Amino acid sequence: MGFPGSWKKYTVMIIILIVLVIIAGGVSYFRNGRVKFLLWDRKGIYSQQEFMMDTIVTVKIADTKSRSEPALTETFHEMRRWADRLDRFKPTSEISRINHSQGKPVKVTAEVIYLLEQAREYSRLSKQAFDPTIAPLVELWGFGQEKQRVPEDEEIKQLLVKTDYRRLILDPGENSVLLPAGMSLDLGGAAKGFVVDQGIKKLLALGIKSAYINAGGTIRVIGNKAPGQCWSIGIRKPQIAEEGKGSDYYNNYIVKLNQGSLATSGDYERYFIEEGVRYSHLLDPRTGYPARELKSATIYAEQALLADILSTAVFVLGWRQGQELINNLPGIEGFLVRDGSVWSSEGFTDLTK
Amino acid sequence: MKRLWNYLTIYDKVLIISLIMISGIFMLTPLVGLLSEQDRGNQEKEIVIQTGDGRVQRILLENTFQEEALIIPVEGPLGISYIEAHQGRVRIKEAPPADPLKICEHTGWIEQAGPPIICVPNKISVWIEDKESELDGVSW
Repeated sequence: MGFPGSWKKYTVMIIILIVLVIIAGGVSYFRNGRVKFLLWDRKGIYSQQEFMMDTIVTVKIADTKSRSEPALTETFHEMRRWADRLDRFKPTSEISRINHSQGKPVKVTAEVIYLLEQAREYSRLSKQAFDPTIAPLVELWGFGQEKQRVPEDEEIKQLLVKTDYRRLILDPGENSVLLPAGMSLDLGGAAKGFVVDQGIKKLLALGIKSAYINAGGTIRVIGNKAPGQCWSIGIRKPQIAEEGKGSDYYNNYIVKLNQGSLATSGDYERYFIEEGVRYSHLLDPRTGYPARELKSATIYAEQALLADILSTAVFVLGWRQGQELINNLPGIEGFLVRDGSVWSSEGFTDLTK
Repeated sequence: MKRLWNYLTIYDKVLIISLIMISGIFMLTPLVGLLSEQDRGNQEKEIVIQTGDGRVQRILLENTFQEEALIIPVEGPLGISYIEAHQGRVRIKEAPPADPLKICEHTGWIEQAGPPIICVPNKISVWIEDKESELDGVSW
């Protein structure tokens, strides 16, 4: 073959060198003094935080950047859409429309029917330790508003008759809800869980296989965080803010999950103090007064909605009856804290190993 | 093998060598990526302050070990919340007067990754991020 002479050989070499430099430049670029690789869309954990439902919501996705970033935006959009529909302070929300229906049937989405069905079912199973029709009592105490106060016994008694989940009538065929005039819904103990479930549903629809959503302490995860590595979740110690200790978690009860949900109800988050007595926002629907036996109740369930509802119900039921309910329900585990002691169901202890 | 090598032209050889080099680059890039990731793992704990509009401020916890406490004013819808960072701890020192309950002020100090301090009315949250923390989150 022709082309003798060394200069030709060097030309070829130089051309190859230039090509290599261009390729290397294409794969990587410098930013903040670190080499980044464009073609190497590596898996990592991408997260975003936003305020929603009067709390902070975190979504973490373990996937490539190019898949995670659009998924984060879409998931927040979806969660916000549902949070707005359940917000009873928003006049156009589905819950507001039910609350202002004056006893006439109201059409809602199939998802909200499902949410109310579950709320009613667990009201029944917990013997009304949870009740979605508790809004009149919550309003009387002023939780979530500026003026909070301890009501008179008589005022509470009058509203107890308006707190009764059995009078909430659902028609799943027609997607309609009927709530008697004078009654109103407050989904404070269920909405966060429901919205988390909707967020997870969206992530799954987007093809994300590994993610974590935390909405004000109500958490659900899908998939392992990394191959063979679960998501690790702590449980907050129910310290009262006034003691100035700040927040801390139980080192011996770190839950490891690759599916399922955790929710905690505690008396430390929303409360007020009157004449030296602390009144928490977790009202017992049967008495109209704040439940006092437990400091916090954490529930594991597959769906965040159930974990959320049951953590409220078990908190209200208290130490002994709360344990009974957890042990009686299949697929439900729990962790209870009262003054000086904690209790963990057998399955819950397994989740921490 | 030697005879095969003799059959190849200079261009064949150049082609083979450049293919080896290119595939070498692609094999090595993820390794370099891994190394740079490990460098980031040595980062110290950080205080993260997020406001309702999504703005985020980060302060290395190691920068709080000074004689004077670090006071960070943060503006929210109700006014200015004063955040205090000192000796590896952080708290909301003063919520704006318009915050009726000042729950975040009562939360007190936090010094490790875990539950955040949340000021719902003023839409401010503060937490500590620790790359080496065993926790992905906390249920509260």
